[in-house]
Amino acid sequence: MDITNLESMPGKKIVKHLGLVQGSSVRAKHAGRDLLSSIKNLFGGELTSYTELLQESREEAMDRMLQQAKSVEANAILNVRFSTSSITQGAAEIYVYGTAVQLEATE
Amino acid sequence: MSGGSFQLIYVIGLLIVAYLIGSYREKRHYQSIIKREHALNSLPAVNLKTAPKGHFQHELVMGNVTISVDYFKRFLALLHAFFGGPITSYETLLDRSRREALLRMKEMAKEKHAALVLNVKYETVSIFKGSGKSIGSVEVLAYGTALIPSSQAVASNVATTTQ
Amino acid sequence: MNSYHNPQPKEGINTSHAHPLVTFIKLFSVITVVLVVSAWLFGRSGAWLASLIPYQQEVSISELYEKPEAIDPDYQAIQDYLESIVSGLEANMDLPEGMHISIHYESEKVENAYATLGGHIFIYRGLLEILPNENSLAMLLAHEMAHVKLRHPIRAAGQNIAIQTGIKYLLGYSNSDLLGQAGLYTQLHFSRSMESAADKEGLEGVYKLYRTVSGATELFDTLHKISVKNGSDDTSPFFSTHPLDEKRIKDLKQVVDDESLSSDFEAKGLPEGFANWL
Repeated sequence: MDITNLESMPGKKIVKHLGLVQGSSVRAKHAGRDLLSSIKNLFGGELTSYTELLQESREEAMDRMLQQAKSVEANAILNVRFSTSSITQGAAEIYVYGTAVQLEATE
Repeated sequence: MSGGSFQLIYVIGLLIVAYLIGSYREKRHYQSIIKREHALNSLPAVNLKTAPKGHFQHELVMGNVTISVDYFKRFLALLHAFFGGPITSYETLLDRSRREALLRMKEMAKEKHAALVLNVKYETVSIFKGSGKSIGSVEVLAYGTALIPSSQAVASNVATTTQ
Repeated sequence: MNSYHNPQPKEGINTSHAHPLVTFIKLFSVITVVLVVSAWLFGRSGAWLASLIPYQQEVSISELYEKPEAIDPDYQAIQDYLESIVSGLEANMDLPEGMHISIHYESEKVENAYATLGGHIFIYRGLLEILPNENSLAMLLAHEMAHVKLRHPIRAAGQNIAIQTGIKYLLGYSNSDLLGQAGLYTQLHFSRSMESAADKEGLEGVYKLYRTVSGATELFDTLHKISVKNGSDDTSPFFSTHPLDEKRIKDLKQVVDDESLSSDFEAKGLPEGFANWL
């Protein structure tokens, strides 16, 4: 499965547009992490626990989008967009969406 | 003592009622979403920007919806937040909101006799409630550009040229 | 345009399949266990840390919160009488140096008596009215004094504060007026083992002062009978904080047997006009 944020794939042409596919994931970090992060916040720098949390979330969202694309028999997702919104304090939603298509190689 | 136990009974009662009504309404909403999605399947929406060849009128279409989560799920989300990790009780809320917003956008496009919606984008806003510790509801806006065939003759012409 | 299709993606990809009720029960029971275990740990460590606070420090903390009121002249007689018993007991209970007990009489129809931070003991009219003799009263006072001697109030307060702050932190609330919320100057709840330790310590003090356990051991029998008579809907604060079960009475009798304390002398009656002083 090709996933790209380009509008088209060089050297390939779109034979079928299959509509929007999307994946989302909401996650919160646990109480212990929150405490450590608030201490780290005093001094600045990377909050690795949050970086990991959001990365895990992003992977799950991507995976869900991929499953949707497979279920409509696409072989690529074009123009992929990520959006992050903080849903509650300490929890964030990662949302990813794109257009599922069938590509075919051009000679 | 009796004040405390009264409060506990009140919370448990509210949880049960919220769960029963909340899950019933969610089920109804999903049924309606799926039904309307099938009806609107003839109108594709993509987030690509390149328009197919042909003559079209362009018009901005949008659909928005604000959905709140029931007390039971909010309580469950608090429990989830204690351990961290996925908050499963908010998943259906967001899923329903996005699909409903897209449906309303497509319904607007359909009214304008659009053949296709391009460059669809979503905007999500969480509406915080109280001290900001718990989510009350979420607003989703879906918007895109509807392509309306200039005339019937042109539309059929486009269909043959894009083959 | 013919290349545009709009198939329906499979349902349920963006939502979890676990039943919300099952998730709820699972999470709720784990959280309950975590909270109970950590409350116990916080309580234990809070009590231990608080017991390290010097007594003088405890007195100045308690003064921050409430200054004892001036004595009403109407109750000067009962105040003097209570103070005389307390000073007699102080001399016989090996209180640490610098520890001084202040007794406060409250003319309210409540069956209650308690010890709190800074060596203050409060006793209510309702309880004094039902005591049969001076030895019972002395036992009651000695019991509360033993709490102070064994540093139970500061330990209970430390435990409260530690549990409240710990749980709040776990649940994610962080701002709180610590001391104010822990209710420093109010009645503190002591554990079963604290009560038993205070019984033993108190009884020994009373025995040294009166050379007899008569009246002292009767105190709990008397209180027990009253509580039974009042029935199960009895809500007087003294009985709810001082559980008078069979085991506690048995433990006290065990102390009498072990240390072979005699009950040869009769219990001393209450002074004449006692009822008018209240």
